[in-house]
Amino acid sequence: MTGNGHIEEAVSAEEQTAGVLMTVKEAIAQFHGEWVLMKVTEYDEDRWPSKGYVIGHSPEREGVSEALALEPPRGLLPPDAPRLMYYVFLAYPRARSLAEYHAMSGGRD
Amino acid sequence: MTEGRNEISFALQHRMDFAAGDKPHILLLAVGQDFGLEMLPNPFTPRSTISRRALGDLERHRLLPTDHGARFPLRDLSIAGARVPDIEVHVGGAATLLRVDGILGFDFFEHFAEIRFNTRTFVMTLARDA
Repeated sequence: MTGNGHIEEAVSAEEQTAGVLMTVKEAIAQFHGEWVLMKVTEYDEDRWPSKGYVIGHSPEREGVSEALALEPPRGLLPPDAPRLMYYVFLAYPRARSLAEYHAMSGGRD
Repeated sequence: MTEGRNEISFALQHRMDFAAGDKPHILLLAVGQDFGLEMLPNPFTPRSTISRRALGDLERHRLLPTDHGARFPLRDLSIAGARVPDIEVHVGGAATLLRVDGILGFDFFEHFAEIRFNTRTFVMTLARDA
């Protein structure tokens, strides 16, 4: 607590509805080890999500499912309705090649 | 990533989760435009599975038929923008233990004649029958 409960509640409410726009790398750094729920706005050259709105995060998988349950059911939207993909991921760094894997492992394997 | 007439290629990621000791290679399986599921490719296990949490997420968003049995059809699937065959999955505990949304088994890979994996670039290529 910072002593200003109203500000914390306001930020929390904003996160619940609109989310916070950030890159996947920023989310991994900020919520390291947690489950993250993102609405994807951008993809990288390999078509993996690279940026989006973080609308929930939790140490438990169930926590992001609860946040996702607050979103309108996708199956009820018209086929042509604009939609951003939901992406749930565990916030740990990702290796994208053997060279990256070895560099990130740092002899821990 | 790339899609030719007879094959598709896409990049896997390796999640560096040292704490749990489970560092799986994962691919992103898109269900329509709505969900991206992180799946572990394992052509040596016969059946594809999904975690109970991921299943619940899809059900709550009405992306599964209501009259399904123990196996659940996943439709309108793509990997890196390339359409891939529909599959049926059942709930499996291994996906939860590995902290992925699901496991793609032989029932998915049997739709392709050949699987190649470049261990340097982490690119998987699935070749269709000629």
